[in-house]
Amino acid sequence: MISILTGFLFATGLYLLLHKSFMKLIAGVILFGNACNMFLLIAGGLTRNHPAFVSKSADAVAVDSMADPVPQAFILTAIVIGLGVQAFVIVLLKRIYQTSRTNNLDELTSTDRV
Amino acid sequence: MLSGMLCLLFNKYVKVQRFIAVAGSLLAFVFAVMLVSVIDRLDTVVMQLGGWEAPFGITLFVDRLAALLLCITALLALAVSVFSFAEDVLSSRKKRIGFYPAFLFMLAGISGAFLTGDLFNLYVWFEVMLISSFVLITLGSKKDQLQGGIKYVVINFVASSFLLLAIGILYGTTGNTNLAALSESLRDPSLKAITQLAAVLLLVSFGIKSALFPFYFWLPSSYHTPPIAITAIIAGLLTKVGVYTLIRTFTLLFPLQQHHLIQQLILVLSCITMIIGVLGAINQQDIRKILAFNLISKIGFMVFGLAVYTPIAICGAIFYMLHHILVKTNLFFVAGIIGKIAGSYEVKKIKGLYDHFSLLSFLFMILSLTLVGIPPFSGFWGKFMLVDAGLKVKEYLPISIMLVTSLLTLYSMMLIWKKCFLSEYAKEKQQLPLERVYVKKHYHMYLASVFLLLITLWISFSPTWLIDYTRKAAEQVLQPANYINAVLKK
Amino acid sequence: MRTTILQVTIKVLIPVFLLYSLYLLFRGHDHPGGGFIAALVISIGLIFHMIAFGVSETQRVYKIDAIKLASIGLLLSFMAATVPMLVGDGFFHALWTDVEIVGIGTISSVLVFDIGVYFAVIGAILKIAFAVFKE
Repeated sequence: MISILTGFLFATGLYLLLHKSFMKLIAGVILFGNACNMFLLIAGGLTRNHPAFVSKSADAVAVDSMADPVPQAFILTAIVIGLGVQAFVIVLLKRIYQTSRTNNLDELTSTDRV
Repeated sequence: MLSGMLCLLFNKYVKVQRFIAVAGSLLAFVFAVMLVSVIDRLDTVVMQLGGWEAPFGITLFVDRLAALLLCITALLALAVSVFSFAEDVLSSRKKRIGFYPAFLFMLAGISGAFLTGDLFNLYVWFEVMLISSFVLITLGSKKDQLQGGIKYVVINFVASSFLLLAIGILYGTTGNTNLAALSESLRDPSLKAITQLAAVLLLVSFGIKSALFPFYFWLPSSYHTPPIAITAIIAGLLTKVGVYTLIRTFTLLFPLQQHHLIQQLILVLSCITMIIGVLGAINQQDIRKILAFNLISKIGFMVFGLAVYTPIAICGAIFYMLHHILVKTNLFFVAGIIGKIAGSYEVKKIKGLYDHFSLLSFLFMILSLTLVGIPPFSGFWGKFMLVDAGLKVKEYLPISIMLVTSLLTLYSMMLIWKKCFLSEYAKEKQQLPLERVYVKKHYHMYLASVFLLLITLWISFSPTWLIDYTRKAAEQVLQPANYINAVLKK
Repeated sequence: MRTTILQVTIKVLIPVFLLYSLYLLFRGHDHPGGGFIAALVISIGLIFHMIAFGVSETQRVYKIDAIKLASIGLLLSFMAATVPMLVGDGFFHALWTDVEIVGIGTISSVLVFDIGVYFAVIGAILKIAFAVFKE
């Protein structure tokens, strides 16, 4: 189920990334980033109802009943980084809109001309 | 003690103060040189962060290759900070907003990427480096900068996502992200399919970052927009980090002798990159764009060395990489000075520099010849090793492409030379300032440029030491077993 | 969006945001929580304040220099990472003291690191928010 959701997120994110409009680009960046995080979660193996915490009292913990904490740590890091990138993209697009007065990515070609 | 040195290498970068830049990079350079000499004796230095043992904690790993690159990074940092002191290269407002913090963060990211021995940690360092380079590229918010910047940001975001996907796949199959441990478990032939998937994802990701053929288009459209000091450091270093990681992954994780398909792929890509880059360069009119396209074609050279995959080829690639970092940054410096003098970067508008600026012309001439690889200069040694290695494995077509590319590079550089330097200065009424006065006024720029040139010349005329060192580095890189043993302490 | 209802509510709620974020910060090591999420909570409060009163008002009331805050945070984090090295352990090695404070738990270099992260993230987010809201 979550795999299908992730695939869907990837597809939507990619579609939006390839769009001309600024707003859709932002949405695409966010969705694509989240899709990657979900992918990490799935790839790391998903278990239900077993948090990756060890209670202080228990001496020995059954390892197989515990979720793998490493992918969670990865995702946490990736989320933080994703937050930075997304915020940056939003500010950047706002500045672009202010300087070029356009909402169409195809018009941003001034640096590509010979 | 060694670990202490490594850590200092890290920390002093992250002081968010204005003029620590020069002191910081000088210190980093001293440490990096010490590291190079230490590595020369010990081969490798390993350090575990947080006191966790190897496959679990984050590992820092330095071998000859990483040490050399660290050293040159610090060197460049020094030159660029000196260069950026010059008035008007960056307006004082930009300096205040945050050029130095972002610059130092980027250097920290680059050094981290060279040092790390863990795939996920590599991703983190990449992001540190990229986000600060985003800030640098768009600093000042000019229209062109923003428009070039958005392409750069989006494409690099996608590249990082691919890296993340590859990490997910590798972690899912092996339960590890430590490079050494991964390298060991990926030998298992039953994992072949998934390994190749991950390898291709990594190839795409690092290919985007190093501007290999199908993914190069973001580079010329964003690299020439920011102020020249920023362009110089970004052009000199960022793509090389991509090449470094390519070398690292495809020797350690996916040794190319086991993945012939990918080897062929890389070979073809590198050839197309060379030819496309240089053709683009000939077509351009803006000095900075010409340099950017030339950069792409040189990336092809380095990756070619990786694709051939013999010790001498890797050695050539590493040597060429070092030489190219120095020369390319310096060429951008010179381009910056030219732009400063003439008020434009358009080849057509700049005329008659040779008459008034003989020192500058001298710098430019030497650098172009070095870039192209005319015999006594350093470009020649790297190229010579690459060609030699290619001949040994009988890859005649790529070699001929490489030689043609060199000729075309020479052509594109001479085009600038002829149009900007040798042409008659037509309009007499607009007198150019005398060079002596000019040098005095902008001595920071000249200082940085001449400093790098001297180092290039030193490499050119006594290459034996460096070639020796890079050869050892290449042999080391091609023996992943050493790496694994050093990290996992077997 | 300057409605009186929002303005009054925010004034009341900001201390709550602050308290909750501090709570999250200090329980962070042994329970879900930590510097990052705590910083997000307090930033949300401040961003609401910006929506209600405008950026200049927020900057005037709270007198926050975002960049300075971020650099202090980074310095703290890096101190937490390097001080163990001076003592003789590895980079980032966690040091624990025996001091236990009710509600906070054991003081350690991990806590210092978390507080550093807290400041750094608040600084970064506010900087971005200022940039977005400023016209």
